[in-house]
Amino acid sequence: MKAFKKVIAVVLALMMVLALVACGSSSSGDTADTAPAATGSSDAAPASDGTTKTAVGEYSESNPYKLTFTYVEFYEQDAAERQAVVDALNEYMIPNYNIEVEFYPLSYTEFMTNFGTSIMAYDEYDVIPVFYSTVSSWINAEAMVDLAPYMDTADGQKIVAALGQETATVSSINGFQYGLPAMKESVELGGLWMRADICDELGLTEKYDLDKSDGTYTGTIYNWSVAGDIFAQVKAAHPEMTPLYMYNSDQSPRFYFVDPLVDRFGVLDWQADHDSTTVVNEFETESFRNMCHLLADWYDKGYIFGDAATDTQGTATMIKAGNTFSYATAIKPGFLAEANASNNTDGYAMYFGDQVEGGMASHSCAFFGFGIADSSKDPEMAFKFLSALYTDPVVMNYWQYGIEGVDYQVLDDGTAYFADGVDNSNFKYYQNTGWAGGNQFISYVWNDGTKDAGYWDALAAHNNWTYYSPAFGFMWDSSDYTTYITALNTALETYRAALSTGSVGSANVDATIDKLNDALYAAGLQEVIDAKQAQLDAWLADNGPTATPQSNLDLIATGEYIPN
Amino acid sequence: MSNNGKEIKSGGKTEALKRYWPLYLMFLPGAIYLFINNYIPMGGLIVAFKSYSAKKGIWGSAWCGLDNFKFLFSTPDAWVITRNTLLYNLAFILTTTVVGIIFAIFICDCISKRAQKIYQSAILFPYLMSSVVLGYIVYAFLSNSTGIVNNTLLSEPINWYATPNAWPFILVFVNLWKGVGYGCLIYISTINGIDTALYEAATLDGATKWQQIKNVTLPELKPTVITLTLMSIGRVFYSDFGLFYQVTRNSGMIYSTTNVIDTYVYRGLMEQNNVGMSAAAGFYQSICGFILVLLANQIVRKISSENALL
Amino acid sequence: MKKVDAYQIVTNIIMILWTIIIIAPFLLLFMSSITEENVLVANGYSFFPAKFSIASYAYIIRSGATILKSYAVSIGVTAVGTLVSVILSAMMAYPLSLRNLPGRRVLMFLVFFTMLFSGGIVPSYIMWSNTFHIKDTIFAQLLPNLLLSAWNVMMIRTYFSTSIPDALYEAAEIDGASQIRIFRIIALPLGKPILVTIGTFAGLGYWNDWTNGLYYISKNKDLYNVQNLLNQMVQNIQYLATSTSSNANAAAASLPATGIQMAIAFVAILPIMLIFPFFQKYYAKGIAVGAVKG
Repeated sequence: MKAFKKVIAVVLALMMVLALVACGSSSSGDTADTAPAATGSSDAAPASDGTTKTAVGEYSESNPYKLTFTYVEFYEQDAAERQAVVDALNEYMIPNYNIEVEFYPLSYTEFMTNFGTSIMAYDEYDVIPVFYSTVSSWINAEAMVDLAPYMDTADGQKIVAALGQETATVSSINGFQYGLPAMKESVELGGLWMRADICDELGLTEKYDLDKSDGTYTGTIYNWSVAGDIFAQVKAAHPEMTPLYMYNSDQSPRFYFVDPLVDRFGVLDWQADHDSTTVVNEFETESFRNMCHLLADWYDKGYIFGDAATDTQGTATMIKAGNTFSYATAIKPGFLAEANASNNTDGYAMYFGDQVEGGMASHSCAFFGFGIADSSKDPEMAFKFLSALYTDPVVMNYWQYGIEGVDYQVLDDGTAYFADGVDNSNFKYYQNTGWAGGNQFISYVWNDGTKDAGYWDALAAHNNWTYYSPAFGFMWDSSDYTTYITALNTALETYRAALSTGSVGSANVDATIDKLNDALYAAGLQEVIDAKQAQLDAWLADNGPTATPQSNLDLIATGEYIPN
Repeated sequence: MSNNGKEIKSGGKTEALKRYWPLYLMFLPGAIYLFINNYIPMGGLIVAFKSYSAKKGIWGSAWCGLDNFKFLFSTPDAWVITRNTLLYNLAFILTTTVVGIIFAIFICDCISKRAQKIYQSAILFPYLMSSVVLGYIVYAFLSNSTGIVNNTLLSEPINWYATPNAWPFILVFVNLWKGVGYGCLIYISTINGIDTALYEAATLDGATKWQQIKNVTLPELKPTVITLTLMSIGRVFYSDFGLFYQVTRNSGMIYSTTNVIDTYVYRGLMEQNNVGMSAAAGFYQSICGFILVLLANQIVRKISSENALL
Repeated sequence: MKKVDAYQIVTNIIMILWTIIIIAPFLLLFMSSITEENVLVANGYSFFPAKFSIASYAYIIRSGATILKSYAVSIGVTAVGTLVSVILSAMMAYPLSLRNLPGRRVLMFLVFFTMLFSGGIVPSYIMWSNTFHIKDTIFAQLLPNLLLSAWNVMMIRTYFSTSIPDALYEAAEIDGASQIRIFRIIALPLGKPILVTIGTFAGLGYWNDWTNGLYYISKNKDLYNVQNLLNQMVQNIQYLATSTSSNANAAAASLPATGIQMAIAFVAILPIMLIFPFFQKYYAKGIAVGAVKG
């Protein structure tokens, strides 16, 4: 054994020394390079003589800043055409911004898996996509640039002007602004997409005026019990059909609204009291229990897809297969046309819910967005580009739709569509992902035949049908509670799928909810709730509760809201 | 002299070194690779004791003591995941070894060369199936509404993905299905390497088939089995992530029997990119495996020293 | 010689049953890849699908260039990687199999230790991408983790030390052969069964790997191998469909459906299934050590 100990000691020592040499050299080098950039002056405005000076360097048309723009590509693009778009964009970027852009597309899988590793390794990036639930660990690892100081610059003020103060700064944790949110509909008004032919057949279409709704919210909203009646009719007429497709994805926002304060462990029970700032356990609320009972009842009656708790196929696949009647979904203006296209089936949209409208919480607004990596060689230049994504339609149009005349054309009414000879099946470049980052409201409306130039206004107006959570703008910093969150997630996941798809069965709902809560408290839920409450109280002391804008209140007051 | 391990002709140490330096040279390329691929990154294990900062890097990050280890131990799941990991691995080692040896003997004894080839290929096929696809296939058998098992074999459907007690059997079987080939093939090559004279002698003595297996085949397989088992013990705190994550479809309802250290860490940390805590988990798994393997090795050394790994 | 007796019958029946158990899922995989998509979703996978369709394979053929490129990467990397891996492993295992080699136990420990401890993905990633700059090169598919496994070295070493008779070495030593020569003329040929076996596993390791591509191939997707393509597709669907963003859910709708995933999985497996029989002759041959000795 003596020999072993010696060997072990030698191995360990060797390991340390050599790792120091190999890893240490590169990472310490990076730190030295970027430290000044991160703390550099942030109010260096672009000069008028065509050069841009920052704390790090000076850039001109002949010496542009080379910038990596990383984003998530949800649809496959042609690589050569993407490069052509980049080249075209640079012809605009270099003279106007002294920036030469390189696109770095990530697949969604890469974004959710290995991109985090790359960030942790401090690989060099400039503008990067951010996701609200992972970003706190990136901040914690000092991998993100705090945008707060930059918001006071001229570029920052342009962003504030475009997005509004509250939206522009919503992606902040503990005063650290890590990014800018994607401009999109942020309100989770929801209901059902239902197959049109079955609705027609069963007389549902006339009964609920389904053909009059194009998916745009008009204020008519039904109680979920109505959906139960509809499913009963469908089941009776078509026993072979699944009335409601659900799958292993949490659909609770369709049934009630709470402000989850990022992670659902400790929430504001908005349903019970719109103004409450007391952090409570969501899984003990009446809303949660009611939803579980409703779904379990449906499941027992055979309304819900039998494999809901484990299925991940997604709605379009199931609808196309032809034996599914409906699915629960968020509904926004233009939803119906898009859904019908991807389902390859005509359907109707119908709003359901107990409350008039949903509430607006930080996470729904800050869901996806863009931030700046701390490894950026010049965060000031990166911020300029970020700012362009939110304020310069030319940049957004290039990124989203490609080259005018080649990839798309501008129609007479000011909307855009594929260029002649190009369509959905053969396009080479068409991102259509403004909902995941940037300010799509400044780009062209994509007119797939169902939209007009006023579409962005409609989408923005969709956000007006909402009350704001008093904690809007607050995001809780869970970095000291990773241990708890891991255990809490395990506890929740053990019971969530069965409860939120109804597959637990009516008889077991109450017992299962009790087990869930026991497991959550055993995993430290109370500590997390207390910590969250303390952070929220501190935030409220600084900012005060967020009030719902008067215009929203007026709209809701005048809305043609018809209960049941 | 035992027949395990070849003797170099005795002589002074310097003389041996002079004569056998080419052997060290042979060892070198592989050693360089292992050094680069394995040893250098191992230094990164120190982030287990640090609060990791991407900006400051592995060496610049601040120390944080044992904070990163807390999440593994201060949770009510610590016992469940450790128990599951260990029990599954023991079951896996046992089943793949026993079945692997049996299949290897059967295949080697098969007189039809064609059949032999077919079995041998078949046993390797499962290696080709990625765990994601395997997850789909298992689901095809076990799903509630369309599963082959529920639709054709059972009159009363069972909701498999919500039945924790079924999963130890399912996973041991799936693991056997997928993993028996590795050991089996190694055993086949070992059996093929056995001096045929040994069998001939046994046959002349009138040994039955079973006696041949017991007195010739199994003793000849022993060093291989011990090596494989010792190595498996070193990894006993790790688990095949794909098996426990993809094949179970990450179904929460069966966590009590399917949650292992690797899946727990993945669910808790990978999405969070918590480098420090991931390293802490790996460190814990490695240290425990290391201690176990040293113990096991000592036991082997006591019983039959020539078969000890170290 | 062996004759057909009860033992033969029983063992063959068991092996035939096991072979069926192994083949059945592959058959199911294939059948689902030629089942019409709607039938597949509505009725689940079946050995006897109600409606056939080759649409999935038509889809794969349409995206031909990408698949072909990835095949080229897979095949090339697997061939080169396996060859280098076997050579390196054997060279490493041989000295370890010599009982009296000075320092053998230390070397053994150094090899074994790599099986127990690993630094985790972030340190490895930093080293390979920052120090060796393998990102977006073919070396990314070749070098990290797969080239040499301590596990395989140990298996070869055990085989060398147990299955090759001492007498052969002694004879060679007496003839005055150098160590390298002994390795070449005795250890390598006699070790063929284990080398082929280890080569098979190294090859399968390369063929099945998708993590290297995931981590180290970022901008140059031409270097994706077949598994990278398959996994990317399958995982994109899983991640998008189960996202809490309804926009992401909608994006999942545009991705290839289940049948296509099955078809790609099958296409990824097919070449190896076809190649296996050709390698068979290398395994099955029992080596008549006795004859060599005589």
